Amino acid sequence: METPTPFDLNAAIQCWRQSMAASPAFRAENLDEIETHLRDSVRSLEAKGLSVEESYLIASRRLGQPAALDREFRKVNAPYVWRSRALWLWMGAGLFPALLYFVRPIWQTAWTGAVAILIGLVFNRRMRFARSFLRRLVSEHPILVSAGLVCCNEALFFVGNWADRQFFQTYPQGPSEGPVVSDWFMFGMRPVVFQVGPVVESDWFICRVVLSNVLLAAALVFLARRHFQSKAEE
Amino acid sequence: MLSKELVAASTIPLVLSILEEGEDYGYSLIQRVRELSGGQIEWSEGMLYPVLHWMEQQKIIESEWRESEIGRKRKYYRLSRKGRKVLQTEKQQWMTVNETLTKLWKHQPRLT
Repeated sequence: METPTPFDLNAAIQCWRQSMAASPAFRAENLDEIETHLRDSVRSLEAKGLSVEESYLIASRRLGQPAALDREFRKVNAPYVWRSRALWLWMGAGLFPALLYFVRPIWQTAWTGAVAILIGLVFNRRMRFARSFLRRLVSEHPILVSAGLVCCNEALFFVGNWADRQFFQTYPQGPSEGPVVSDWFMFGMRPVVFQVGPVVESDWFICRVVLSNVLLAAALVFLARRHFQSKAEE
Repeated sequence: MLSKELVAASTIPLVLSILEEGEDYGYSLIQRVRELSGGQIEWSEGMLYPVLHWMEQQKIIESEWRESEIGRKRKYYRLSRKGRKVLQTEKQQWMTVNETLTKLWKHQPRLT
């Protein structure tokens, strides 16, 4: 006969916390506070004679439905939620020139983005309350990244086209020596402009475009992961 | 048990009134309200925190993270100067409602 595995309160709380941390509605500080509340509640119920497992189940139920908590925290953390969305949009925007290099025609990039959005929407509906960051990554974030891609695609195409007609190929020359953002903007601008006008690019420049954007994307992924999971793994 | 609407409307004056007595933390606030109301006011526990954070954003209350007696970090809330003014307004408004209803219910017309 198998002996039942003893209930591990810390593991259960860790699991609960990770599921909550998947949503951008909660800041690490919010989760710290609710976790302390949960532990206080468990301790109080245990003092009344309940087992750890029973205490945890009651205490977590008393906290309220995760979806309702998510909704309420989204309201008070709205700037934070939008900042995280902007981060993913920016990532899409940063990946844009690299993608454009591999998928030359503009319409094809837009089409890829549209399909990605549709797939993302379907996944998002099914996994609305995704339990982990990784699952959320394939549900909500591709939508934002794709939206960023498509927006940049369209915006830069029209700006490039307009600049081409207005200034007769007087495009920005050479990469900016300024901060990463302006560097990205120059890189982001040039491939679109080059696509509109027949300009031959050196391999070195294309390598820098791809490399800078891959680095930018990697940095953003790293920051975003830290952002969402910073204290969840303590 | 009080209706949801009344519980929601009384949350801010209740929190402010408890914090007027001294600083406190979320779990303890909920316990105090439960005790004082004899279990008539039941807050959905997790829902108090967005309210507390909203009050903090409005600068009605202030908070501080400190280590508790059990060694865990805990967020303590206290009333701010603006919060004291808001509490005075809340008191006046609730007293007005209370007095009006008391007068109305004392002078019910007798039908017999």
